[in-house]
Amino acid sequence: MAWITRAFTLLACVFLVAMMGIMVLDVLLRLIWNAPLFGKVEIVKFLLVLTVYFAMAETFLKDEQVTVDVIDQVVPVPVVGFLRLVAAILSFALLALITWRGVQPALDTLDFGDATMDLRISLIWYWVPIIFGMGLAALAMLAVIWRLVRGPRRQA
Amino acid sequence: MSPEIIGLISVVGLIALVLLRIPVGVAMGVAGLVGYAGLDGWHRALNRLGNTPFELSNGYSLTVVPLFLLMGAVAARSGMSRDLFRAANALFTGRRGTLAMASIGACAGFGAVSGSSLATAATMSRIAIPEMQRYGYHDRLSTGAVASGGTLGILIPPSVILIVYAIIAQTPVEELFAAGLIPGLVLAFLHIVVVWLICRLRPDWAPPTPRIRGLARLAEVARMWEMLVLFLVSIGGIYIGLFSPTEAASIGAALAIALGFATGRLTPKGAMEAVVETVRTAAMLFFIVIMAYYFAYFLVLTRLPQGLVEWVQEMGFSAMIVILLLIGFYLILGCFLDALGMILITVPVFLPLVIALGFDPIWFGVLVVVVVEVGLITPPVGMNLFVIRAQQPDMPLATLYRGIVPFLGADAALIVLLLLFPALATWLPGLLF
Repeated sequence: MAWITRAFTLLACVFLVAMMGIMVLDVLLRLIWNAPLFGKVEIVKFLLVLTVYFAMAETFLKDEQVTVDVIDQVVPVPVVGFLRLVAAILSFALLALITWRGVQPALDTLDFGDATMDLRISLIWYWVPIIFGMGLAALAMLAVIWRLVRGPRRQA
Repeated sequence: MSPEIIGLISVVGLIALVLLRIPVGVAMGVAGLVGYAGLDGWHRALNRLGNTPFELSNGYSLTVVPLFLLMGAVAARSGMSRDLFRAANALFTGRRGTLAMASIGACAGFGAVSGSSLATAATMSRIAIPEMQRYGYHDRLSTGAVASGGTLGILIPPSVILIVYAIIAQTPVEELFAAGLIPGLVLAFLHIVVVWLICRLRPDWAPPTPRIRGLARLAEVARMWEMLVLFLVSIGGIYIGLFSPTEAASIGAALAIALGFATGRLTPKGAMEAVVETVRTAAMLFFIVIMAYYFAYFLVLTRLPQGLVEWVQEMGFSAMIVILLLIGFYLILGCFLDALGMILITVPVFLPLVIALGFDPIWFGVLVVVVVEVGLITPPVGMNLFVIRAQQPDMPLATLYRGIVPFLGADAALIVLLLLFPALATWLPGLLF
């Protein structure tokens, strides 16, 4: 799982650099020739979606979501382990629900032919990275749950 | 059960989940989903949950987040922090406590290119604390200066927390960036005053350091040119209306990369690390913001914020009393929640009340960030202190806690100043926009 999430994080890096490049190009074109890039906002929004959602799974796999761990100082280690498992299960459930309930509105945009104003990009292309990224993050959480359940047995 | 009660139970449940180690974003999603289902049924709650990522990610203004993060991540790997420390050291040279004052000055400078308090504290603690230890500074002074100086990172623009507030409160990012500047500079000044006072009372805590004179001093001060160029081009570009915040962020990130390579201090490996760190931080932030957006939508349905407004009006509290109560609430909450969590959970509930009482949402944003900053340097969830501890593992946590105490006075003074003179935050945005 780790190499899959890492591969998509690296792809997200490419999209981030592309986003920055397009914005800089647009500013230069606007300031020098007063000719901003046509459809820039739509391209940049698409790149943003790709950047953010492709990197999402790795943040879950590597436990990088913001967590308040004050309780670690007041409860025994096994309880912390149990709470980590509960957090992983809830994270998986939430991500799976977001993925599942995102499919229908995504298909609706396809049925209705929804597209962006300038470049006429079908909105399904904005939905795909969201559903894919959330789905991959859900799978990453399954891997975390598996790791947490198996971990103590291995140590034993 | 009335919608307001469902809303209230969800807020309490959310805080309980966060304290039970559930990630902040997941806790907001779960509390929002269960509460929404209780209010309007599972079908609508799930439909809304599925739609929220698309709705929020479709906002163009959000592109500012990863780009400003990139600028800060590149700056941290370009040796800019060391130059800032040396420049600030030359600025304050000749005074007792020079290095501690330089730490705060450098934190303020680094905060002007980085939007994160933790990044500022982590970067400066690596450079400033060993230098202060070399000259025999007391650990309480050195760690206190860096931990409190680090909080300047989220007040001086660009600030990730101010961007998040802007998204939740639906206020313009550029106005918040303008509003944070003067309070940020005032807080830096107040922190320097605290160092000066400590050195007056305990001169043995800050032994004298070699004085830098003449042209050498000028040359050292000139080392801050990179930070100045980045700040003037990106944030200055917003202030004079040349760029939108998103454009400024992309220009700033590209310029930081170009300057890093031009000066030979940014390696391809460093640049790659900065980009990877940026996309991961952005993804983490987006997930939390998406879930906060969902939770906030649910809260609006419950009419809890309006209920709070009506309750306060019925009780006949004065506006200032309400603000003082809110500050007290934030200070208590800051002992248990991190800055981002506090902003995301509380702003949707409190902002309608604050606006109904006649306060400016821009001013409130700055006030909240200042109060939330205190949580970053107070136990038990003093994130800046943990970051310093991670860099200085031999330093007892008790020393860090004791070191921060005098600097809390500076934060308290700024809060009082903001209450007495709201123009500290509202004057500059009013002038520029």
